[in-house]
Amino acid sequence: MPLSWLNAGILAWFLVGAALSAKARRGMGSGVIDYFLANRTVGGFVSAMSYSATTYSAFMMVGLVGLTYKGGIASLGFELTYLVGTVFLLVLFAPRYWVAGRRYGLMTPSELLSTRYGSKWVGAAASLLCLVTLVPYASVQLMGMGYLLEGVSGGAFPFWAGMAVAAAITVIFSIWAGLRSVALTDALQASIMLVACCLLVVFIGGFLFPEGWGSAMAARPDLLKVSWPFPMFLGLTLPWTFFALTNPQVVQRLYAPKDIRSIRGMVAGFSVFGFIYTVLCVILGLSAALLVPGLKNPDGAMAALLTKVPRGLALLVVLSIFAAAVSTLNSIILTLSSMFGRDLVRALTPLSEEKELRWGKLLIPVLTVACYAFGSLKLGLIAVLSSMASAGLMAQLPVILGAFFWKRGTAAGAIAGMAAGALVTLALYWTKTNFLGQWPPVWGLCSSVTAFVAVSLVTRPDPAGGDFIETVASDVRRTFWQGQDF
Amino acid sequence: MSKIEKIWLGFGTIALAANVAVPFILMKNWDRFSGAFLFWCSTALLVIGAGVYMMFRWGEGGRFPCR
Repeated sequence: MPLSWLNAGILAWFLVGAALSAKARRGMGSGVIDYFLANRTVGGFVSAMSYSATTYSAFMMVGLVGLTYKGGIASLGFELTYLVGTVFLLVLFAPRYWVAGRRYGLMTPSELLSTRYGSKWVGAAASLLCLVTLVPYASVQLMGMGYLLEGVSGGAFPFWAGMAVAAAITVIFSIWAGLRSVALTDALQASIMLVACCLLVVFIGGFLFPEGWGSAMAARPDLLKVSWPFPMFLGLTLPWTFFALTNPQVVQRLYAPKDIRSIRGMVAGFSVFGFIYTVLCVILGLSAALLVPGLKNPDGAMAALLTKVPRGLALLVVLSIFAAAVSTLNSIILTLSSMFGRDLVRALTPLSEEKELRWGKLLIPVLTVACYAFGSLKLGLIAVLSSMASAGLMAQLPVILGAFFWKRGTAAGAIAGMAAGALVTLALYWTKTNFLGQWPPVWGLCSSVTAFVAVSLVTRPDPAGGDFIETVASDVRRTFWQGQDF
Repeated sequence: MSKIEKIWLGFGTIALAANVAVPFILMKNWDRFSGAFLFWCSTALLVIGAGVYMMFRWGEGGRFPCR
């Protein structure tokens, strides 16, 4: 694809996004809750599209397509298990996070842990864990853009330039109007992602497989077999199944809907979006395996596939992947910056709301540069890097579950659980050790659960923790199941 | 946790376990769309449908004096 087409397309897309950001800025008030949670007034449709765009990143059209290209249909199971897990968890936990956010005035996921366990150090530890693990995951978005633009331009758009453009747009969309801007641009981006993916599948099915896609697949029946080794499937799937609870950029979205109807719209809309988008991406991966076989780098499958379609459609798809990357990245950066001010800086020193907001805004460009630097290292397969980050975040899982359901859980136990899980996971990934044949996330989760339970049982729980659990349970029962107000 | 949430918890746990176990135990060698592809799509749609049903049983409360 000519460089001028790519430049013009990215510029046009950026201008539309910038116009939406400017519109969002006009409605912005003051204060951190307004900046990071849009003052808890986001409607159902925007919530659904924004949650979808935040969750589904460049990984889908680059990493998942590559994973399917390389390993066949098992990638569908991997991604749909994630979707099933997310729907399952959101129906249970979205009400809990939403009422806790309002009842206690919470802004970040880590703040909920601090409140529940009665220690600011629990929130600080969770925030630190998120900062360390999400930088690689966010970098994957930039890497996806770098690979894609380099691939479709035949090298004219270098890897570093693709990453730099995505990083610059992320900073602009995030810093301008906080979540109001991010949510609105996400909604636009989610629409582009779905439309482009649908059009690409329709074109490929209609024009590149004239005898029918099903018949063409008969030439590669091996792609329809579940060919992944089970430990690999479990190792990749386990962290993603709990993504909806452990990844702060999506958890924070549970504080933002304006009412219960909006939460319902968010979860239902995301579920439908997720199912369609996942199946389409897997179909694209299978199609790439038939149309452009023999690629050395599976992550280049989408770029290779785009050489088979008209330039206009290819450009739209490239922009949609760009949109997916930026929408995920800006949400991660925004959430991490809110956690930095609220959970880390405020744990060390008292901070006015104005200064907290300043710290948060300062971190947006700093984090983006850190992600750029990490992405420049070009470490590993995109799918594996993404899953590794989620595996590190999974160290929070027992602590989060304990926050809502286990009164005996203590602050010391929570910190020990997160530390043990994260250290074991990172150490096993670092040394490339699959103990007893299982991938690091399995052992990370076991360590986290063991340390959390053991240390909690030998330390004294905060009495207010039990009150938190009962208050949230009571609020959920009254507001969600009995239709009462707070 | 309410009774309906406990039912959802059991249903979701079984669906997740089946989503992992069934294709790896029973469909390992099926090389057709009626194998793992169909199973995973059906399970996902079933859980989404059940989730939407659950959410439509939520009330419309939750109004809160501004904090």
